[in-house]
Amino acid sequence: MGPENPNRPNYPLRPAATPFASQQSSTPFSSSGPAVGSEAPAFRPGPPAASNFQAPPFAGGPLVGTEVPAFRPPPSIRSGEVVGPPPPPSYGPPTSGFQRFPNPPVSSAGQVPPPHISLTGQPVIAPPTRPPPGHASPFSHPQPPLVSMGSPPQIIKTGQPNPNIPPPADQRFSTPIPRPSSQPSSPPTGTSYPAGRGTYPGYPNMQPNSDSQAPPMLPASFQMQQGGYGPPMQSSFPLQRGYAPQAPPTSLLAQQRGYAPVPPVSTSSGLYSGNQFQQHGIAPAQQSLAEDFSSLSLGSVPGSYDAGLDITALPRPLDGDVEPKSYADMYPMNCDSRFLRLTTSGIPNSQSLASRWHLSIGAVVCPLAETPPGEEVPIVNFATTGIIRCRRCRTYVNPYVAFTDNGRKWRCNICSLLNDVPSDYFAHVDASGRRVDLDQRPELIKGSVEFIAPAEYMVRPPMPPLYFFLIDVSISAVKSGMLEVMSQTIKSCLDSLPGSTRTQIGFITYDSTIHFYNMKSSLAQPQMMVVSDLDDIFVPLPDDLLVNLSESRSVVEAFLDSLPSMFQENMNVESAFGPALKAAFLVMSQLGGKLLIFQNSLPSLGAGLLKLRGDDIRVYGTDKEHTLRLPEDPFYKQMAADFTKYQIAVNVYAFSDKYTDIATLGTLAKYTGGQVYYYPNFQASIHKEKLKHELTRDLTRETAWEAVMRIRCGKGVRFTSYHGNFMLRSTDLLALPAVDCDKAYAAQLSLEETLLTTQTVYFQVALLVHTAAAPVVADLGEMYRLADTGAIISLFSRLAIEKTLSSKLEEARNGVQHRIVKALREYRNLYAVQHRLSGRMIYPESLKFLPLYGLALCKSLPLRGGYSDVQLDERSAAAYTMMALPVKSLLKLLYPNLVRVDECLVKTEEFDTRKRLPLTVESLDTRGLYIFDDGFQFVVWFGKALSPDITKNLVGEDFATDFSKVSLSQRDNPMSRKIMEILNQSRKSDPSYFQLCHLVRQGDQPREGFFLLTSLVEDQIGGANGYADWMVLLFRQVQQNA
Amino acid sequence: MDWLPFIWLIFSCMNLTLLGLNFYEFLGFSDLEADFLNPYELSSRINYVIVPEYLLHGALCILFLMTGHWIMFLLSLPTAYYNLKQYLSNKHLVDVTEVFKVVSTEKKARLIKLGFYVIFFGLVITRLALSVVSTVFADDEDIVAWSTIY
Repeated sequence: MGPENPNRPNYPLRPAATPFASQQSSTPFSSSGPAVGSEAPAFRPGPPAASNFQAPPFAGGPLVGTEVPAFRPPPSIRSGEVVGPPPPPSYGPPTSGFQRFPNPPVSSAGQVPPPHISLTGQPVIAPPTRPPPGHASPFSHPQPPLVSMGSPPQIIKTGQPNPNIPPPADQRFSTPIPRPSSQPSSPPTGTSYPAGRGTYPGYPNMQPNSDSQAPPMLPASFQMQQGGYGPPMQSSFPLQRGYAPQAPPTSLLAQQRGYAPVPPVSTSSGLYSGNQFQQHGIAPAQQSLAEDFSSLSLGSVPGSYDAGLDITALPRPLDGDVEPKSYADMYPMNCDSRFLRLTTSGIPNSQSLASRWHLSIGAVVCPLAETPPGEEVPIVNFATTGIIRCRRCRTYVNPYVAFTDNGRKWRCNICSLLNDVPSDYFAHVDASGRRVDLDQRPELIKGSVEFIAPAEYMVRPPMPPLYFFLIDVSISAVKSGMLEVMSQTIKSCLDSLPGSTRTQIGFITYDSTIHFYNMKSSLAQPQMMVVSDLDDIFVPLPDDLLVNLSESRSVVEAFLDSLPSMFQENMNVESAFGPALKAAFLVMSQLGGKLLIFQNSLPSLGAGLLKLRGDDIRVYGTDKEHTLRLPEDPFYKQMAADFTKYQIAVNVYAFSDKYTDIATLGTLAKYTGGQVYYYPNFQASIHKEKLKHELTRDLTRETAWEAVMRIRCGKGVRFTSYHGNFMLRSTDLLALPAVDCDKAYAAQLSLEETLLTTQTVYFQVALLVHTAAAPVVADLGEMYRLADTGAIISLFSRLAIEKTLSSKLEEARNGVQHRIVKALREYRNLYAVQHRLSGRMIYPESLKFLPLYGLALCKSLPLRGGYSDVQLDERSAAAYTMMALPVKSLLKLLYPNLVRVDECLVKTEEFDTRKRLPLTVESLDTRGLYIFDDGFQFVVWFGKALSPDITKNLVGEDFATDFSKVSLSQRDNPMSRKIMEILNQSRKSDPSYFQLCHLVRQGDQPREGFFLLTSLVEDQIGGANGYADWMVLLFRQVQQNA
Repeated sequence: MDWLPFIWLIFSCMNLTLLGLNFYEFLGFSDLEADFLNPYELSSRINYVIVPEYLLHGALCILFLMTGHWIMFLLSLPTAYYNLKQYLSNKHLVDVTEVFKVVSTEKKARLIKLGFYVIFFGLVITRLALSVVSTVFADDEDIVAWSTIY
């Protein structure tokens, strides 16, 4: 797509959008004082800070989706209750074509079939989904995976027993078969899917209770379950959409009929809705059977209607990120998954097992993740005793340490060393080994705590928070309006900067010369000093360039007020960025702090000048291509290293419409724990709110200063590599001059010993102290079962982005693909022997979204296409951003939310964010209005046939005009209010970035293509595979050498 | 023939220095891994000696060539080539920001070079000894003949 950003035209400002900013600024984030850790991970320093901690105003990561209920039901056997708790919805096992069946039939061959399965009926249950009326998209339900096989609405059948049901071989029904309670749990043999399995010895009594439970009417969409018995065997039916009962092989029919005599119409639209069934009554054993794997049938199979795969049946994360719950249930004292996620919570017990796991063993850590109100991390002050840590490995006391010797000693859970309990910390231990004072010791109950660090943990006393601004004032900065927006924003944030009266602030501006500002409190106006000797930078008046904000408040405000006008006439196009950077370094090196750089053009003078290398088309596509993504001049790396050494964090704001070499400038942020904000072609009229929100958040969010972070783990495993924005100070110590809630770090670990002897591996992240335990497993299947797609994708994206720095984009994409293929192949090999798998692709329930996210990753900005698909700067900026994104934001970026809003605008119903649609053009109905939200921007898509009324209400009279010039603002009508409310709601739930709203009309190229069509990851875009093709491709590759 | 022992003496000194430099670098990387050294110190120390090391090795090569010791020259070529390649691709200096990613490969490279210099040193010392012997016993024809074979 063309280089130009379509939105160039200006949008009028949108007034409505502002709420964010203001809100934010008022919150007091407490940044805390600087803590430092020397070796100790830094804590936030106590005093000043701690007191103000409040819950951040923003709610934590918004998950939009609902969460899936427990992932897998607890193993315990539930006695016959079928209906039980809603077990996991979709996790069922899989099998037949596409669908996963929740509960495989019990009787597998080897087992003794329970004599009768009583189906207690549970006929269906899924809450009725509403069939999407008229809507084009077939998927109405959020939960993707399952295909509903349609058995007709059950309702009917409920009361009737069907004595004879033929043993159906067909799978398509997913039935929950309740097991009688009496039945001991039959071992879930994995086998449940053997093809033959079908015979159920009849379900003689099925229904006795069904009535009671069955809701009287089931909406059509639910069909599935009831029929349920079907063993899922054969995979082959691709799901057809609404499958009418009669279609299938006769045996099926019979069965079905049995149950449901009258098949109501299953509508085609309902297909999806079926998915949920599983929830109901799954007996435990079955459940476990069911969990073996999920599958998708790809080959054409006799009996199926269409060969190949049914697109609608592919798994889609329409519920957003779903974290594995079973793991959290297993170790309730672990820290929350928002802080630490493992790619698999089953740590392999041997190197040979680890080598069969191709998805990297690792963790994604977001040490300061925002917590929702009510779940704040407890703060512990060990002022009297000193922080209790293991003598040898320096682990902090945590819920997993064991107190022995009547409470006089404690055993470190990481290195097993027996430590003395200091007398002040002593408490008796009761008979069960618990300390009697447990309830007053949050550090012994909670996985996450914050210790107040005493002075010995700091290399130097806490420095005042320091904010330093390095501002480009060349012509483009002035013209674009950046200068004005920035000055206003900074001014509005002065009250909410962390640090209260200690905060220091300073400014340098530059074009072809460097301008320093003396802002001593005794002056009425700031005094500007110009240094034009770029070769030998010196700092005039070193003492007055950094001033205490509260003392010099009026001077600072005067400066910010006059800044835009001061340079209004500036025609200078040069940028002495390198020398200015050095000057900033000289000023800041005493105190450390945060440096914000506002850069509008390519650095052109003095040290660190950069060339217009991005224009050199000849390099693209060659072996040298990757060098364009690497920093060009070692000056920047060296500066970044020096900044980190002196505890300076750098955030880069880049605004140019031309090539600015973000790849090089970004290194400053990368190695100092900072962030890159990129506003291509900045226009104050369009991007004002975005810059304002993001700058405000940057300045006011809770920040830990001068931190170091280390992840400790038990014997036998070791973290070998780290990925993200930071600099390593030693092999396992991350130096983070400033760290906040929007930064996450990934790490890979490896086994040091060939065999692990322990049962559990513990991890402890020391910044805030987060502790987690993970079981050691001996079985590959168990590792797959405990896998976490979100963490895996997060790690993969970082590895892939790092790979783009040393090889071509295509190789990076292939790397992702190969890993997925290898993992699926290995998984297939686990089951290929016991099950007939031909024509089916199988994957663990936990990884059902992995292929889709992998595809989305390959289509994400840093990896997409070739050189012409994305501008180099955008690619680099996106890469730097993705290297720091927490898991949830990353997943949302990869698979954005697409929701239809016209219906809810017209009616008065509540907007339901959960009705997300698959990201394909087919989801878009020309009569609809859709919102696309990837966490960084909104795209509002207007269908061609959308009622003019809606358009008129939303964008005013001029609805026929060019949408690039129109913005969505609040108008005086309910529809407009409602949509603004929806947008603001989403913004509030995801405050890390500001989602600028772009309006797009169907068919309005290239705007539509640029904003929306290229982001529909399931479609074929410019040579990249669509979802279905991708699955087929993966399937073929998995088959090879399988 | 009188100058020959001196030349070999110079060679052996140079070789010894190279050996020392490499060992120093190797030690630096080991210390970094063991956390006895931080990356900043490591990079400033190593980057300080790396160019001199390359120059010294280059000088050694050229000296071998100029004094007509073909075999020794050829033996020293691979290392010289490696050095040159590193230098030309700008990878010779330690990058302080990414040093932990390369520490194991750098260590391995240093170890191989160390081995190379040790062997080389053995050869040089032998030649030194032979040249001394041949000079001292210049009149002993057998020895002279034997030593010039090399």
